[in-house]
Amino acid sequence: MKRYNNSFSVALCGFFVKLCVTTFPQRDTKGRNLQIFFPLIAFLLFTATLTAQTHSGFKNVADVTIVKEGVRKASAEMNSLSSKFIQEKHLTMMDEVLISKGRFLFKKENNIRWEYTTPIRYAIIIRGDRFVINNDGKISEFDTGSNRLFKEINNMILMAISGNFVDNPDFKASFFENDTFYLVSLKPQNERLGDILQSIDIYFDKKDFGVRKVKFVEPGDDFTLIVFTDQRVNVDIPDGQFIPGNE
Amino acid sequence: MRFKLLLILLVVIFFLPGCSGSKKAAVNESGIKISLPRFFAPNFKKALYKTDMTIYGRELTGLMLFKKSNGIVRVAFISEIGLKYFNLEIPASDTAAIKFLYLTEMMNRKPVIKMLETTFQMLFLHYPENAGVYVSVNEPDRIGKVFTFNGEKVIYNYNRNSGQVSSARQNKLLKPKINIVASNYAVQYPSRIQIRLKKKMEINLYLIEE
Repeated sequence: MKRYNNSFSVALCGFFVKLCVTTFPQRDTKGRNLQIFFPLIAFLLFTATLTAQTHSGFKNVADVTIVKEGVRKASAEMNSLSSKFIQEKHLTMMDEVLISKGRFLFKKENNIRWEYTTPIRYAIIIRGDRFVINNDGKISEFDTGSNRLFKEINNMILMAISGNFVDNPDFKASFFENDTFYLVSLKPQNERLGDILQSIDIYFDKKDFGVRKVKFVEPGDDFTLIVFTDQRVNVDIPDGQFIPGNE
Repeated sequence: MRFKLLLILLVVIFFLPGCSGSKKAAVNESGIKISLPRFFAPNFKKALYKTDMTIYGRELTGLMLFKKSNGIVRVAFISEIGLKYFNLEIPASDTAAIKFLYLTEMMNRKPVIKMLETTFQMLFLHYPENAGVYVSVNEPDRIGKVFTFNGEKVIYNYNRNSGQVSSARQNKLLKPKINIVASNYAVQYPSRIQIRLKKKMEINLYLIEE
């Protein structure tokens, strides 16, 4: 589903209303005034574009502060997180879904282990300012300057867990909900990031505000969906897990 | 007499290099069946490779997927975390150009595009059939085929029975050449492919799924 931002949808509505006024016949063959339908047409178009912005099965959150506070509280109470994940890469053009599996470890303040176990062995480890990649035993350490994009992506995961996306100027957040999830859709405001990512959709479980799914939507129809399973909060994770090569 | 000598000299200069060594000699094919060269069998559907790519010193790693449908081969190279580097389409028609459907900004440079186009053209032998001629090689059961396309030559060394290519080499005078080496063939495609263009590009593909 194609989504438009608010200003674009308003402009689009304005354009269609103007198009109606200039091209729509003012009276029908029986001389009835057809301009009375303009507000109705404009309303329908406006509703249609607003619907196009939303996610299927989700509606706008009435009170956004509930989500913001819930995420902040859950984040403050979480010192560590251990989870498995399944990553689905949807390649629409190729009609193909590539599945990867792995595990994710997080420990406050800034320790992350993002590890793939199938179909390849690959791990990204962030410990403070250190950014290390373990590619099937080949360990490479990078500075954030040469791998800003990678770090930004991982910061997004960290941001989702810590909940600090709320007032992050790099993203414009929109809030939606269904019976099970709060969905926060983040649109990058950074042009460089915007070239590769259209949005990041984070699904929070309504029960505990834990992150259950993250969807990276690319320009075009491709997307990456990461589904977290077997999540365990505040478990003991040895520091060694955040040292490359330590398994 | 002088004219005759000049003529002989010209013949020696222009024709002898073309006959030097058996590699360039034409092959007498009477009664011998020769398969067409191929890295990927004509009936292959899908192959997934773990991929390391270095382009102008920049390292990219991830997964490369080849998928064939209705004669069209589509290729996608994505990072481990799912970000797409590029995807492209190799049309079913041998004369249609390879088409990039997406290319990350970092790779969106003319020399890179040209290198990748040539590489995938070589990998999928995307040449008009009449652009190729057979040549002999000094190994049993092997044969060479040379495709001349857009002023460049690409030489394939392959098994004359199975068609499995062991190496392909671009032949460009005084310029770096793309070399492809393939090994450990599964039934339909190689398990290992190395692609090299000196100082500019290196791609290593390791089969991880059939």
